Amino acid sequence: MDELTREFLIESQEGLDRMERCLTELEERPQDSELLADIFRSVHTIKGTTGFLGYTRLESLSHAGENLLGMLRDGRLHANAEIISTLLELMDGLRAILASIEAEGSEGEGDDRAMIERLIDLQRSDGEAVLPQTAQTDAARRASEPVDKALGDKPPGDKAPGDKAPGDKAPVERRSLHAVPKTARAAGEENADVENGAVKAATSAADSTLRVDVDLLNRMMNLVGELVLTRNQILQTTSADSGFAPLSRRLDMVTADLREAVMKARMQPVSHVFSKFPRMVRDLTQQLGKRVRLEMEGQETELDKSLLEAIKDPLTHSVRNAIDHGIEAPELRGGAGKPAEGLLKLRAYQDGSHVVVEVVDDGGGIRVERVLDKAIERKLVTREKAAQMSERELLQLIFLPGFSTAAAITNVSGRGVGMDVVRNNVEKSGGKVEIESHAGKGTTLRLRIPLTLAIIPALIVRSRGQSFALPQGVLHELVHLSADQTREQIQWLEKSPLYRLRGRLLPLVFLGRMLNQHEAAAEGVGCYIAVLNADGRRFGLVVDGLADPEEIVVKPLSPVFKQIGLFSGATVMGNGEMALILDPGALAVRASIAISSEDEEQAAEQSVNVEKTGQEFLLVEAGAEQMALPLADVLRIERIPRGRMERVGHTAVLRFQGMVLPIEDRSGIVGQKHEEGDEMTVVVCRDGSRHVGLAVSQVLDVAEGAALVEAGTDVVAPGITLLKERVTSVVDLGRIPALPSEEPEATLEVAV
Amino acid sequence: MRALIVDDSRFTRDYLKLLLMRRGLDCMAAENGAAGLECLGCSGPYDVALVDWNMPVMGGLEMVKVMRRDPALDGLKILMVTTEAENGNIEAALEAGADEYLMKPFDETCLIEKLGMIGVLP
Repeated sequence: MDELTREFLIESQEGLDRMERCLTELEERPQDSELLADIFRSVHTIKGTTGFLGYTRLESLSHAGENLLGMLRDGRLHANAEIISTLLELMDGLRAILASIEAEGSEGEGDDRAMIERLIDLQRSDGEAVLPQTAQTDAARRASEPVDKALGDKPPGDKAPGDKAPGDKAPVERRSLHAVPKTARAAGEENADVENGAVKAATSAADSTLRVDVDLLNRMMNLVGELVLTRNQILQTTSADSGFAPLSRRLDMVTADLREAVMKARMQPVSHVFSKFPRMVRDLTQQLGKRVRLEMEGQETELDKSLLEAIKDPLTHSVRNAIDHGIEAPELRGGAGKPAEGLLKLRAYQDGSHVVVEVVDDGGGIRVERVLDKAIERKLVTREKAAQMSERELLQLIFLPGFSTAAAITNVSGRGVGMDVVRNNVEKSGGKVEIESHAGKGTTLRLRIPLTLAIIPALIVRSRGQSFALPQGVLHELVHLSADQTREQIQWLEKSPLYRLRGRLLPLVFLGRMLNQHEAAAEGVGCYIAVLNADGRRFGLVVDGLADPEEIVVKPLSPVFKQIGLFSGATVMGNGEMALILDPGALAVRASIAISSEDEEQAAEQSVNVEKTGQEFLLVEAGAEQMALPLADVLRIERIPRGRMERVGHTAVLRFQGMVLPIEDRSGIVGQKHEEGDEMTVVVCRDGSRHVGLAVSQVLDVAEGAALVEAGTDVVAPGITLLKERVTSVVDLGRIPALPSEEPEATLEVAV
Repeated sequence: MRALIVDDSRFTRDYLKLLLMRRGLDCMAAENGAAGLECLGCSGPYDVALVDWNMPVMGGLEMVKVMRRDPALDGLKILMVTTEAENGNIEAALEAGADEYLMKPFDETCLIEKLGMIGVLP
């Protein structure tokens, strides 16, 4: 295919894209003359250029369209739903032909007469007589002589074959034929042009853009990647040589700038993908008998071209889903007290090194019970396991392969392709999918996509002498533990290692163990905990050592490494050594780290951000009341079978590790009805030399409390503290009554 | 000889450029009337302007009128390029000061002939 034909295809497709956008807008503002002029021009340009290349089908179709659009533009006809639908169909027809030209080099077979007739009929529909146009005959005459033959490499002056064909006589003939008086239409256009010209001339400029082949950009990107690697190596080898330092710094800067520039060249606004949704939403809602208003935000947000391509399908699928399954039929919405017209919002914005694209609907939301039923029915999860899952975790089930909750299989969302495909596609490009849903209120699907791929900042960690790259995006903080601390502060709960980070338990994953690195860790050295948050799973990755953060170039993995499932790629580091890139999400899943709930995350952030100087408390709930226990006095939190509770007089007691604990039970938790095997929570505390227990409904949090000063005095108010912005009473352990009768075991312990 | 091509279709601009360059003309292209006027102002002088009729921002007719009001562009030949749907406009173009018109789609011979008629090519 020659350059000009390619140009023609690109330009025509762009024109049709613009036409599509305008047509959907036209439904809202059918009289908008600028829109009409724009649509007219799109078809007009196709018609004007297609003749050069001898594409007769395109020409006769666009000619018929142009006539209709000309009447609309001049106000001789008013746009209605039927006209717009026909124009959309015309657009599809033109697209199909363009696709055929692109694929096969010819327009392909097809009968456009029906379409053309409809376009002509519509011109008459306003009752005005219109001169029949001669599209087909004109086009047929010209078909005999495609001009692209003349485009080959011929020396100047060489006559193209067929030059003496109809084209020769035509101009003269036409000049005499069409001495039609100037029409009102021309005058109108002239005025409009004057106005537009005055307003817009300032913003226009001659061609300042250039079309670049994506392959070329990809190649440049790869080369820049190689350059980054070379730079890293040079920086490392020259770091000791002071004479080289300024030079390498300069190289460092230039490389960084170059990298940024090349990446920028690959950026495209998300409007490229968004622009097709108005039409899609329109078609879908008509098909399904729903009413949906589409709102789009942040269309100018830019994203790497290849990533934009990658999210196109997932996004399309999500929009379909939202309309098909999310937004309810108008009658249902009315019943639920919502406006009959549903709202679908597409929102794109940049968030650090990610672009977030949200598909938000105000539909029925996802019903967790139904998700659960379906998942159990499809054997995707066992009932026992599901019982332990939080609502957020349950929602994630819809991303499992083979899951689909649609009551009826429609030809919109279809069958087979589910949310698992959406997630796969997004994750393949290094992104993440999150879902949030509130029954009756709607669903938000969030695609989180890295701004660019290929080069990412990473922390190099070491485990048993090997280096691994950890993407910075998931890294929250680093904690160093000395050898003693490693021994003392890492606790084991069953087989799970835990570390208490600012009062919160952090599940740990030992990288060396996870990777089955059999070499023993070096004795007498500490370790590092990299606190990560991967896909909502918060955990600490224990490594032997850290190296400098680096910008690494992501290289694809060989299938052998891919199989392991814990790595997302490989890279060459500054020192020339290879390093595998860890996939934190996969590590967390492999280690069965649970998804932290939203509250916990927020609490974690609060405890990081807010500096408090008071004492630490365990916040518990007993009955309807919240209470604080000084953390220093808390020994254990125990889940015990209710059957183990005993009574001595009016006091509940618990035999525990050879002691008898008096149980403080202010809200009557012990006395509650229960079934065989039920459990309850008891916080075991130290009060001086004795131990006491507290029956609680649940343990809420650990937080630092602030001392409260009584108004007008310097006296710290006793018995209360400010905990998480709330005044909370502190349990006075000393007031917990001793056992009414003798306390044999307790006294015994004191005696010993 | 220098030619200014003013057309909102990239394809048409490139096609005209190709044909004109074969005849040894230097070409410059602009995407609408306003951009075309800018080119005339900053990269002139030109011998001929080939101007499309229907363009966004500033159409061909308006551009022809502006050019003809500018004494600095006295020697400039103007070839109006239209499609047959716009044949009613030819008169208006000629009235506004275009020297000739060319109907799309045209072939090489037709273009050369027209340029010969207005004295740009022998």
